Amino acid sequence: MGNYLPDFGMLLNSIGYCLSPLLLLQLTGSMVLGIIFGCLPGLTATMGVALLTSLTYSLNTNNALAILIACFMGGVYGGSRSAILVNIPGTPAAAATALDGYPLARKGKAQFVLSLATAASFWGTLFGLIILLFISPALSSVALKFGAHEFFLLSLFGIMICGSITSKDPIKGWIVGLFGLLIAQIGLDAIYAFPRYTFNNIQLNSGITLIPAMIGVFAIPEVICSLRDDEKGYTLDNVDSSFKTVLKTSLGAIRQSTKHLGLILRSGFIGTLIGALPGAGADIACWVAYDAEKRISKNGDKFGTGEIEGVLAPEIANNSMIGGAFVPMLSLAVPGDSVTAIILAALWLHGVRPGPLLMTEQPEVFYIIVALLFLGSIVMAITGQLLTPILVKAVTIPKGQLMPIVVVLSVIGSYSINNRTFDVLVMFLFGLIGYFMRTNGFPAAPLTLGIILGPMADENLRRALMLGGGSLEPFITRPISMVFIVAILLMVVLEIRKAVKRKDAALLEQK
Amino acid sequence: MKKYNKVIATAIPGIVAILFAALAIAMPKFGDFYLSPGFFPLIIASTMLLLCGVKVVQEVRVAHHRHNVQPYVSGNDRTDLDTVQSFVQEPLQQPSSTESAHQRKIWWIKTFYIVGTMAAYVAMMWYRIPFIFSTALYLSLTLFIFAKKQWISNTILLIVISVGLYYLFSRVFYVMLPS
Repeated sequence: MGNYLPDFGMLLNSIGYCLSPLLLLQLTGSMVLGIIFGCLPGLTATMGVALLTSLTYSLNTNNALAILIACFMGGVYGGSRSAILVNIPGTPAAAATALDGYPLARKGKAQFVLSLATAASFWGTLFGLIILLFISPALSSVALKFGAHEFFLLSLFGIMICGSITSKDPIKGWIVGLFGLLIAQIGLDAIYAFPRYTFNNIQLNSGITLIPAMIGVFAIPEVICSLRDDEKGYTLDNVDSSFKTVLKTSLGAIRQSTKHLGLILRSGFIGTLIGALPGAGADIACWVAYDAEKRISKNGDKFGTGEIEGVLAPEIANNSMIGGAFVPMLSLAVPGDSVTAIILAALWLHGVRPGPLLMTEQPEVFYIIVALLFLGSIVMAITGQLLTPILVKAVTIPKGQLMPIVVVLSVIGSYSINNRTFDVLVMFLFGLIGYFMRTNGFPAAPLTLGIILGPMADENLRRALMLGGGSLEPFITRPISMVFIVAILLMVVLEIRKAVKRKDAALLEQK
Repeated sequence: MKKYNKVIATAIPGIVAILFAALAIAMPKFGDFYLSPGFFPLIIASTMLLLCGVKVVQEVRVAHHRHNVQPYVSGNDRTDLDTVQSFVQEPLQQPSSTESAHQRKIWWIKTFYIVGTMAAYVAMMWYRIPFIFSTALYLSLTLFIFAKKQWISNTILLIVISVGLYYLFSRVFYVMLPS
């Protein structure tokens, strides 16, 4: 994919082609299915796309792509629904959305905040799409410059950001993030296949599966606290499923989101850039965007208590990652994450060969994907807004009825990943760990991110040292790596300064 | 002892870090140390231990401070305790000391009941007791306790969830739940 300007004629033709009733129906149906998969903790976009891949063999390439892309988009978007409503992220990336989305929902603004997240997702997808269309060659070249050194530092950077923004005490956040990295070391070592921390248990050889651990640390403490403290289903403002109200709320949310143009651009850029890095994905993008906005915003101190910007930033980054993830997949045939890996495989099955020659050999496929992403974002916005009142009603169910159902879904979600009961046990044990963490002020999100990034950090650190013959010098001499080191040091200094300031303010108040 | 609860809670991750570090040291070394399987876990565990050490020292200082100041506040005066607590804000999940012993007892009983029923449900899954039966049993043990007055909707939920989810997952999503 060399330097080029998009062929708008071909793009319009592709959009026109995708407007066929059958394709739109497939797009909508898969979107709803994707949203359901995203909503339910344990059912992931990856699983949805994998399930649907087997059903698309007999379809033509464009219809197959429509189904897979819509399911992918719906899965990424749907993760925020349960994060906002019940504080249980449907996907790991939605954990950042829960920080401000859940407090807002608890204040009675569930319908509005869901609409706001939908609007943010729409802007995010659109932003990623524009980047994919215009600057994917440039972005691919940046992504290619990332080597082992940069990937190690990127994972460290992600952990540090997540740790510092999810807790008032960054040290606690960092401890949890490091604990997550340690948990990720359980299983066979990537270089020598040596079993680490397995205690001769064959089930542990494949490591701790992320999804059961994530469900455990988020869902179980929430269930225990809600049931124990006799929480009622919380009151909601203006829950009305009439078309007029839905339209009014949606327009209000869109208007509100457009007031934050700078935020849309910043978070969109972060999401697309990080989404384009193979292996990094949305999970880091959301936290980086949230952190950036927390530092920039005038209301940064109020983040975590129900700030609109705290919902917008991670949701925009989360969805703009979709466009970003397609950049290396289409231009280099390198999937950005597990879902694009499945889509890549599906493309191969249909005779499409992504890579540097795609734009010269099969440009129509590129434009069909762009057209599907564009139409998909519109379908997502509409179905998302229409589904909002139905989802909101779920939280008015008394917690005494809702929470036992959450436990059942958590058990199924954990089991369904590998069809093994060991994962259910992992979910329960992590639930207990999560409860301990919650009662002692340790944030849960860095643990999830640590488990995600652990293998990447381990492999890349050792690979980087191997390449440099054990020398740490390349970490300083490589420009992108140096930028990360400076950013990490800056973050530590800023966090210490903030803590000292807080202490001074407290002492002053005391005097 | 109670004033050191937070110190103990912070020390626990430190102990975990020591265990991870000790096991990492015991791992075999293949060639250069930085290539060995224990290299990365050792670095991470050591860093975690260091941070836990810093946190424990902080918590010990806060605990001492808390012990040395008068906790009673009158009017708008703020004590050292308030200052310390505003600096180290922690969620207080357990009932406060002002609540009665009876409430505390109920609080603990409820916690153990919730965790116990969950553990029983997980155990039933582990021993591959049929999903419909184990789910119905778990739901009846929780729904009828925590949502006592809604027994009609509870019964409907119990049947719909246990049977409906089984068929949805095993027939539509091809997730083979224990049967």
